[in-house]
Amino acid sequence: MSGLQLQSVSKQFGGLRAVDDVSFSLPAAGIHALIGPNGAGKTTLFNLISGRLTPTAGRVHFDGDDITGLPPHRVAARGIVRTFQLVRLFEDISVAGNVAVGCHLHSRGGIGAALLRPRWVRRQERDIAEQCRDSLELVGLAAAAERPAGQLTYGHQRLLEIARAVAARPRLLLLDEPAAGLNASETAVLADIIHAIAARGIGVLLIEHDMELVMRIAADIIVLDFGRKIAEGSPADIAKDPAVLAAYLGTAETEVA
Amino acid sequence: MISLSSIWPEPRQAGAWPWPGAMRLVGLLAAVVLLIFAVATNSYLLTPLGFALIYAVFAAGLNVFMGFAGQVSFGQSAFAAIGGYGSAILTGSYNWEPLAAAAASAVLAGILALVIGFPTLRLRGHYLAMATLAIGLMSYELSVQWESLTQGYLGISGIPPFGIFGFEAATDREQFLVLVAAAALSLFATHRLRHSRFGRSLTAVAGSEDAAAALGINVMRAKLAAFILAAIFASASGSLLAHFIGYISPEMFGLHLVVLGFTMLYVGGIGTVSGPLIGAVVISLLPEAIRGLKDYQDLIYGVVLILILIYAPKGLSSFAGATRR
Repeated sequence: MSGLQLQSVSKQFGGLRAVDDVSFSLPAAGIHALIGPNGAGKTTLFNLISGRLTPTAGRVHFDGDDITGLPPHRVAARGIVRTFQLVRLFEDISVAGNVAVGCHLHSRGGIGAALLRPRWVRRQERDIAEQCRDSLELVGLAAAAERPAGQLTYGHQRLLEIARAVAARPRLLLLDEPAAGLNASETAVLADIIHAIAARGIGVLLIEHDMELVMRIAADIIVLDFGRKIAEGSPADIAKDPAVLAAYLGTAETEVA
Repeated sequence: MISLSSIWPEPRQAGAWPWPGAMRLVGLLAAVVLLIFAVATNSYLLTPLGFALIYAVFAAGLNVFMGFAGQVSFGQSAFAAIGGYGSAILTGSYNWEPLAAAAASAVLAGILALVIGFPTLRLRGHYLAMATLAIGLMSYELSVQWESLTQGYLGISGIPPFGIFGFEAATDREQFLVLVAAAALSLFATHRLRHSRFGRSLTAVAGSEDAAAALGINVMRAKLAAFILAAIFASASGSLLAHFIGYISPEMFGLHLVVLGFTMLYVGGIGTVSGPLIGAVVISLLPEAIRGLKDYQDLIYGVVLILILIYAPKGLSSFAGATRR
């Protein structure tokens, strides 16, 4: 079975059940969103899928394989690549250099290849440069390729992190609050970029607090509250779901719906 | 179209050297060769410059682990000791070829780095510093106490000069040429490593382990590889030291060597390819340059170091326009 399946996944931190018996199934393609009030367990769930944390109970399957408990770099090798809520760039190197790191999974060569630099390595480096350009064009940062990543504006740093993840050629891209800290026009650009990524056949699962963005781009929405899944469905269904309204009651997000 | 060199940034400073990275390295090597001719008539400088080249090999390895991969090790002196004692014992007691002895010592150092690194590299920051410091202290004690092998404080003397395939670098100048070749090879190797898929994975680990892992990089393996490389470089420098001086003792591989290596890295420019060489030359020649100041020598030495670190916080290589990270 293709796509991402979670079966009764739980994560316990001492006395706290950060993620409690969560199950869902996502198709391999399309844009989907994970929403919920602060502290609902969304990022913890991302950590469980991407291998930063191991579930206390339950299984995670991706494209038919059980990936529960695999370390992060092996999960990435299976085709799930994530971004972080707090941007984590390699600030000392250039924008293009960051994206080149993203090409790690589908290039090869270790110390020997580095020292001898045979013809195939030189050809591979040219291919990587080409792919960097492609990924940077996707997010509109091609002109900034030479600049140190640390000098980009915050919004551009977020886009660079997405470009770097896309360069890894994932089958599923996990975006943790990609619109956080972006202004309205930057968010509009982000929506277009996410659509363009999905159009390449890459599945996207995003955590997002910007309900307008979620309602506009997500095909399916999963709602977490206190670690539990309280609703799942289309944006229209979620907008009028009583459990969701109760979870968000008194917060600005409900007004958008 | 993005050129290949754009994968790695040019120096941030304005008016930087217009050559691509490899050409800069060639320029640097040319400068080194010129230096040889300059000192050919001045044998007084051959000894400190020889030490500088040996330390450059040591610092180049430390740079892979600390500058490229962003880790910290206070224990590299242990691996230099393996090279020094390995070369001294294998050439002295067993009549091995110097090159074969150095190679065998380097392999041993690499294997030990693998064994030591596997548990310790899980530690980060200060904890890793403490663990590696312990490695250096243990190797020092071992070289003092294991008298049947190392002759303790007495040290091992009568180590033959370096040679290759029966040819022995007997004169000072020939020995110096061997050291120039070793240092040039070290810089060439680190330059190649820097600008490769492997080098990028080290940079990624230095920048953010979480992000590196999320992009499919095996963080532990990258750190371990860098640690093993640093150990091999350190072992090679220890071998060169043994052959260059003809004598080794535990003090040569103590904490002093680690402090020297750190100073050279930060003065020259940590994370840059040419930094270790620049730092090694400056730190080795500085005491010679201020020797005439007699009583104030140590004071001036300290002041100069502080001034360099204030006015060139990224190291002297940032002035030279040499390859930045």
